[in-house]
Amino acid sequence: MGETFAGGNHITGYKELSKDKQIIEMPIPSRVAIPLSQHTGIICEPMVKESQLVRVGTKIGQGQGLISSSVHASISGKVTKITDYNHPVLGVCKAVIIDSDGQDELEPGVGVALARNIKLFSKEQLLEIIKNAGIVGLGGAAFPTQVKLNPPKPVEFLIINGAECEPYLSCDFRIMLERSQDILKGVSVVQQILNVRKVLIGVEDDKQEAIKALRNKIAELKLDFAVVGLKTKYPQGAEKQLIKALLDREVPPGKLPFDVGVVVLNVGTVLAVGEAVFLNKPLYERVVTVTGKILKNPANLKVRLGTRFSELINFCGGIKGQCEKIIMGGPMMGIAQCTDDVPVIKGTSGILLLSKSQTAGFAEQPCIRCGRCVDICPMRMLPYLLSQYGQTGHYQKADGLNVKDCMECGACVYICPAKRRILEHIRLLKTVLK
Amino acid sequence: MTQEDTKIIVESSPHLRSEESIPRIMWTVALCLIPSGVMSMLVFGPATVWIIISAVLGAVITELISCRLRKKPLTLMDGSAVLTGILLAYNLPPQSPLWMAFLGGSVAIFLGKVLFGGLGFNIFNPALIGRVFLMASFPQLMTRWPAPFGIDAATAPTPLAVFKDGFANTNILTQTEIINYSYSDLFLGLRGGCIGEACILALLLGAAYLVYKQYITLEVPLSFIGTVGIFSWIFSGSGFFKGDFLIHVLSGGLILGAFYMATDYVTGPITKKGKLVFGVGCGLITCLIRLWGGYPEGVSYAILLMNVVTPLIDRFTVPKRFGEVR
Amino acid sequence: MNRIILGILTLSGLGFGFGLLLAWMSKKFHVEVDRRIMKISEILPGVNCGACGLAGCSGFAEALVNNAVNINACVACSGENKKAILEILGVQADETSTDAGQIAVMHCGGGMKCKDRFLYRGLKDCLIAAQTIGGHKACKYGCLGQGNCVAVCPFGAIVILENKTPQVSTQLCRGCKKCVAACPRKIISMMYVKKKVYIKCVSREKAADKARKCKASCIACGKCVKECSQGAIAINDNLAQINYETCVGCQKCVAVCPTKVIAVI
Repeated sequence: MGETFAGGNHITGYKELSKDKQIIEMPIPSRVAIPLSQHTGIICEPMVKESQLVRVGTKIGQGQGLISSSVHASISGKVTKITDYNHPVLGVCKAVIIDSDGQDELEPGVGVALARNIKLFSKEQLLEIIKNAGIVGLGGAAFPTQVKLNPPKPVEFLIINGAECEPYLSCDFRIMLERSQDILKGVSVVQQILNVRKVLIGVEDDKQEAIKALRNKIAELKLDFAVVGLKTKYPQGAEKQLIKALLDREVPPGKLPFDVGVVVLNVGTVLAVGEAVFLNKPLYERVVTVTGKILKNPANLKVRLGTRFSELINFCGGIKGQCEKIIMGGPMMGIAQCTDDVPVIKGTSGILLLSKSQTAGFAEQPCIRCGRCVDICPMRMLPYLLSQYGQTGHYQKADGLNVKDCMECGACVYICPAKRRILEHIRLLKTVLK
Repeated sequence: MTQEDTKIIVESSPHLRSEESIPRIMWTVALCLIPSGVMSMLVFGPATVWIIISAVLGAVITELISCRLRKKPLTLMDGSAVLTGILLAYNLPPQSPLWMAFLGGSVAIFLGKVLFGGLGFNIFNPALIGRVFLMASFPQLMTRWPAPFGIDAATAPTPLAVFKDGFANTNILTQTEIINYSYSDLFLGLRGGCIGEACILALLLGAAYLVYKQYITLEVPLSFIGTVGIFSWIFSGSGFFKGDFLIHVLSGGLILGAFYMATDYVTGPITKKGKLVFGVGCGLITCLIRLWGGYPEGVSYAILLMNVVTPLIDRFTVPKRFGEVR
Repeated sequence: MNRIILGILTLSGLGFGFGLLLAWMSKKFHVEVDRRIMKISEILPGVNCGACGLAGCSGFAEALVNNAVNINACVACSGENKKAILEILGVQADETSTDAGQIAVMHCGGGMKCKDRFLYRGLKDCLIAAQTIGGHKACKYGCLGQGNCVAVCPFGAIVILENKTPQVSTQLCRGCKKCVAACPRKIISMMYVKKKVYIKCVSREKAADKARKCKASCIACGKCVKECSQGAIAINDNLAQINYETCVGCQKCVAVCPTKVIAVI
């Protein structure tokens, strides 16, 4: 039995669709649309002009202010336009459109293996490399990594999040299996930046192969990292729940992990950090799980950022039947898209297609007070009550119920037998009580 | 696909729902009550089936009419009315007239549920409302107990009623002798009593499945039964700690009430801690009524009384906020 | 028989006794209430909309009597009723003190004429709909049609029509401004009834984009500008705007608008 937290529940994973598919590199698309906002924080300022030639890794957007990150060209070719384009999170956002010249020419110095001895680098130098590489949290929230790695007070623990508790997704599992050495190299870099001794890698225990692969590599490289098996349940990979499970520490409301002496990074993020430091490679591609029961060949694809969803779907053999929902990310916290003409961004961990039968609309019924939502809520809130207050418009009554603690994991909605739209009611309360 | 392709549905997360639904839960509970019904048919004769059917019909027809009158979508298929009917019938004596069962089912739904606004808004367990209504209106019909396998419909008092009389006469030696039934008789339901409450084995079978499906949790039943056991062990004997607690646990409607009625979602507390409090409270009230009250059986009243306190229990058992140091 | 009579006598005696007690108490502990408050409360609309900022209509009546508030703080009261209230208060009624005259108008006529980007499925709430990747309407300025304004209106003055556009009833609207605050898209504003005309579009997108997305949008053609003899209409940011300082309400512009965006109250 793995480590865990109170609450949550097992959710049928559907991971078998793509779990055993090796990561395939997708052919270079003929055109990419790279949004200038792919992170939490201020939108980038474009650094290129229309009809300018760029190469893979050319910086095309400069991060603005403290919490921001740069973006880079993911293919070589010509900038045809800088215009508003569909964006998977924001709806519409300014993007740089690049037409490929088919050469896939790298920016000088990018992708060259460097035998860097990181011990000789200072913390500031390493953070600068990460900042220039445009690395953000690849788990989905896309918080700029250089900010996260520079906490205002020293931390004790580094936790690497390999839980991947979202159903359907398997990209983190694949990279843990196939790129375990590179991940560990990245972890070493982060360990040095944060100057922590204790490193924990949390992986859900249904991913035994990944745990084994990481443990073998750690033994081989004589590193001092602990790989800890976590109980397979949702939302095990949520930052606060992961810390609770591994260290039995609770992050106070409104505080961040470093307040309890922890920094949590996703496995994909540390892999990107490793590549940035040892390969001088900015973040211009990532692994995306393209999956769904109606997809012909679900796959884990290594994709250039800015590739449109439609191309990924076509590469996976297209759709059998009628697709009713296109979701960026997993089914629990992913964002439904209104078109497949949206680009892959840094936070795109998966593309999930759902058919009509999987999106059946449910009539909302009155709460029967079964208490399942209270039992499952990982933040120990009272979703049933919030939902009632939200529905009936008693906004002020919900004020003392800590609405803002909700991280919108959706576990309560999943479990609710009355099919109530609990999370939407909570979002409404959050908006009204802001 | 183009931007104007409106076949795509956009909904906010989560996009995955579990298979559980209210109808599924209700019908499963109803299904789990069938073994006990079959046993009652064997023990008290096939007439019990008609009582069950009339109670269910009473409940269903009332639900149907009230849905029509309130111009609300028909909620019959969610199974809650059927379940209420079955539970009410299980709380009736085996020789109840059919009209009484029908009336009880109808009152249970109307007074117990519809008046409060339908499923989810009622504060009392509807089936118990029905039973208490019948108890108050037709006390004689509600306490006419036939002996098991009685061919000529000879009446025989229930174990608890015998015990209640015997309890007053302190010169009787052991309690199993008073009531003439062995523990195994009680466990298998070979005794007088309500239709569905007798056969503990059948009830436990159904309850085990419900626990396995996680439709009910064990907090309420265990604390309820445990409290009754401990309390009767202490107080029901001729001195302290000399009571025969097994009789109290095995007879009366305790098992039916603890597993099927006190665990009702709508009228019970939400949190695990609250459920424990609820169960202990039910147990205490049951024993008070059984040992010192006017009725031989107190499970129905205990549950109804605790239903009243449920909002209070909920208020005092709010889970501790995540990350809060207290 | 005796018993029955005894019972009747006892009870009537008790009733009589308590009645006397109550009568005496009400005299003894009588609190003087300003009769005007009652009278004014009867005239006030009694919907407790809260637009005056006081605790309901009775609170407003009390404040009026205490001279703590201006009568025009009540937006829901008609001019005649305001005159009646001023009479009770013994104040001379003049023109300005009784002229509310403002009602809410909807600056979007999109509805079904505005294209949908996708099928929205979720809570029937405009706030939530607006958060769902920018709303399901092709126009990012327009009405989302989930009816937050309908829900919030204390007078039942707003309805969503067949064509999915909200409409304010000039008869029922009392101008409490609740809907203005409730609309996440800010398409509702207050205007004087006597000004007659208003623009039913808020989109500031390029005219060509607007025309493609919505058949009921202002396409900034400028016909109304030319038609207006007072020079009261101007086009700013691809959107016609009426200057109510100079508009005389002649309604000539209404006829020339090709997309029927100029509406009459």
